Amino acid sequence: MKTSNIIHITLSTFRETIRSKILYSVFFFVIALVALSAFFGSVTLGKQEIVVKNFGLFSIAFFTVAFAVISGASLVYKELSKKTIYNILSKSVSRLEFLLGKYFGMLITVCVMLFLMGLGLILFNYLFEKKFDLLLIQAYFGIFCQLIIVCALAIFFSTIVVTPLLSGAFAFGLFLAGRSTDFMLEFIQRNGVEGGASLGLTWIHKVLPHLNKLDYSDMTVYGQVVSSTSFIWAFLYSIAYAGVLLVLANFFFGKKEFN
Amino acid sequence: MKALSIKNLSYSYKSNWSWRRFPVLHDLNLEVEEGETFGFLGHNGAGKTTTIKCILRLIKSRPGAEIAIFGKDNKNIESRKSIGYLPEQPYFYDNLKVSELMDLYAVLMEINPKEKRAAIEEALESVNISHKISSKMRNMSKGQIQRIGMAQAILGKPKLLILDEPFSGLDPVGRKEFADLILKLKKEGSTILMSSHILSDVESICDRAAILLDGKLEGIYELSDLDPTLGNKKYELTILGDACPDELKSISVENTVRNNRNTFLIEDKDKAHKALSVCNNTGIEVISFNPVRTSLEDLFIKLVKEK
Repeated sequence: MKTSNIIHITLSTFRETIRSKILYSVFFFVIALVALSAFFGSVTLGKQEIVVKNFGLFSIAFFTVAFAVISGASLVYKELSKKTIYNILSKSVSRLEFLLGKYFGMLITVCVMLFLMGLGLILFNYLFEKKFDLLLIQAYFGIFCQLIIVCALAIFFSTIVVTPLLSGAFAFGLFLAGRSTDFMLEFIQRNGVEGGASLGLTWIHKVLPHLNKLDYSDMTVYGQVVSSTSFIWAFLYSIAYAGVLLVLANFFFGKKEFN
Repeated sequence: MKALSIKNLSYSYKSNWSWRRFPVLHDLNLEVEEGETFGFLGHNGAGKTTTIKCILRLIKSRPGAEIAIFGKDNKNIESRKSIGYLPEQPYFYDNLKVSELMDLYAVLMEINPKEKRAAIEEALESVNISHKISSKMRNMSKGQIQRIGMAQAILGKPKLLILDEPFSGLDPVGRKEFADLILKLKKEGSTILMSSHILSDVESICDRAAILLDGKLEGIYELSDLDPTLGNKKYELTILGDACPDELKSISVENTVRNNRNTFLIEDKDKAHKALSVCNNTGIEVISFNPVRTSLEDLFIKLVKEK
């Protein structure tokens, strides 16, 4: 595997995506929503800054994930329909190098989005708290870990499903399921599900990405500090999960014929 | 060493909605010599692009096929190091600048970083598009995209150039420039495999051409001498005036009158000389007398009709 190939495909993907119009639309939509949170905060009982942070973190997480799903899910489809992939794979570039380049390019793009929006939220929150709340960074780290998995999910589905709409729906569906894994466990315990169904649901619970465990928004909003051990485990879990998805994606992508 | 060797290449594609496979290529065998310019002809859907995709492993041939590029099996990714490829109707990333795009391809072609800049400039200048180096791809016209496609294909002077319809989207000036460039690359030692629908271009550029009909190889022809292939030689005699002497009419197989000139097509050498003596004896002014060379188009049309 040639690292230089991966780095340059990553760079090109990043340049191509960062200049796309969808990204700017998403970006301005988030800014508008965060600004709107100030209004909601002013008409809500309780501390305005909590509403701003809650609303801001939700918007950042939701829209970065949505962007990752939209651009990732259409990745292979777009490369095939525009035939841009022919110029890459006709050179001495392996399909794994191509996939990894695309994955890292997408991940860097959403990280830049996350950084800029996150910085914006810290500055916006300063207007209410009159201090820079750097604790927000721990919530951003959680979102970053989720994005590591979501980008891999989007790439994985784009290699096995033909249409971007369907692969996007699968990736987003799995993201939502991943955010709700605790509810599934609760459902099994509360409803006394037993036997095969319980075993099946428990396995599904194990296989689904535990994105809810990577969400530090509530803790951040209420000022709780996340331990460094949790950070390390969250990061290791994310890269391991994404790694497995990329290996599977490479397996399916390797079998693909570019007719 | 052969630049390209294809043995027993068959390919069939699977429909999205059934398990049935549709055959496209049938047991294709051909070899391209190092340094030659090889044309790859066929009607739409004959399997030209499919063959090229099999060579590049964009699609996988059926078991039993053997494809080697300069002796290296095409399954070995390193074999593609020596290939430059221009796809049919190329397309590139819209938001990238020409310089960024060429930089990416230079790295993928493993061009020495010190020589990269010079190689990019040389490739862009070869296709007269260097003035667009800072422009974004989305602002390019079809012809300009074709030129950039060619530039990325010749980047680093690959030993084997595979050009799929290189003249598509080009104006006459562009076509001439591309033809000259291909001949220049051949002179510099590159081996060229090109598919094209423009038979006159193939004829003027290529040393040999393979004709593919319905996925089967009909034959490989030396383009320097096509006449023996068709088994006949024709002569064209043009005289001044629109009169049509009976004696000349009986000798010729076809005659056309245009702009006060009468042109006779004669199929036999003896008859052609007889027609000349008729003109001499009767005082008819001869404007031209030429052997008609069988064109690749004649051959191609003959093969398609026979099929």
